[in-house]
Amino acid sequence: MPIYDGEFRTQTGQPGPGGLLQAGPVLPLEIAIPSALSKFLSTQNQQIPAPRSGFALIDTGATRSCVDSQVISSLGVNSIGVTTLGTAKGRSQHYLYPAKFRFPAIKFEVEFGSVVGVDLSGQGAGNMQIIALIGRDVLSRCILIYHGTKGSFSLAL
Amino acid sequence: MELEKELEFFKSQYKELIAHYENQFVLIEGSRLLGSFTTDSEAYEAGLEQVGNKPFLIKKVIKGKDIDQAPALMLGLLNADL
Repeated sequence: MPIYDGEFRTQTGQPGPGGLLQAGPVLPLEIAIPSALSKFLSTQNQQIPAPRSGFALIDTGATRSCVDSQVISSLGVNSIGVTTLGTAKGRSQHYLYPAKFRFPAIKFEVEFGSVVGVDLSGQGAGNMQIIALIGRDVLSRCILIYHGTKGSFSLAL
Repeated sequence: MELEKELEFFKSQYKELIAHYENQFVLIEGSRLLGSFTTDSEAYEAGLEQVGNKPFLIKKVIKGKDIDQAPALMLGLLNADL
């Protein structure tokens, strides 16, 4: 079982809660086109777009994983459905996209039948651009340990 | 709106679809039902084969509405200043 260990340290190199508090549990991520689409493009002798890199934020509040709409659209992936997101502020409609999430740090990938397309532009801390949210659809198959006081977390996928 | 025609078709044919394809994933392009599948991945592969890399609808036929939750995102709390 691959394990990603995330740790934030203070400017003096000591473990502390500040970094994790500010950035949240984030890990490097690549968003790639679904394998079925890669296969289809290959048979059509079309170029396969390179994956887009950024960070994923673990969001225990989200039932399903989400992807930045602009990022997935830029890969040439078309929407395959619409879902309703419900919150205390009301409901809104969002497109669904098939996608592949790659976690290069632990050499692991997840193929999704669909993820929710949302606007994540401008989200992130520092140079860590958030391009996806890891929801409970993934977390239902994982072990997540969040050590707030130490500023670290571990995700076993 | 993308997939508007497909969603309208799904809505208009819902009674028929739930009677025959409950808990299956249906593949719809325009006002045509192209097939039913056990998984959404199978439906996607079939959609690419039959329609190409163009918008088509894959929808699970279930009773009631399916609503997802993402409260932190929708409330704008992903990047809140504390």
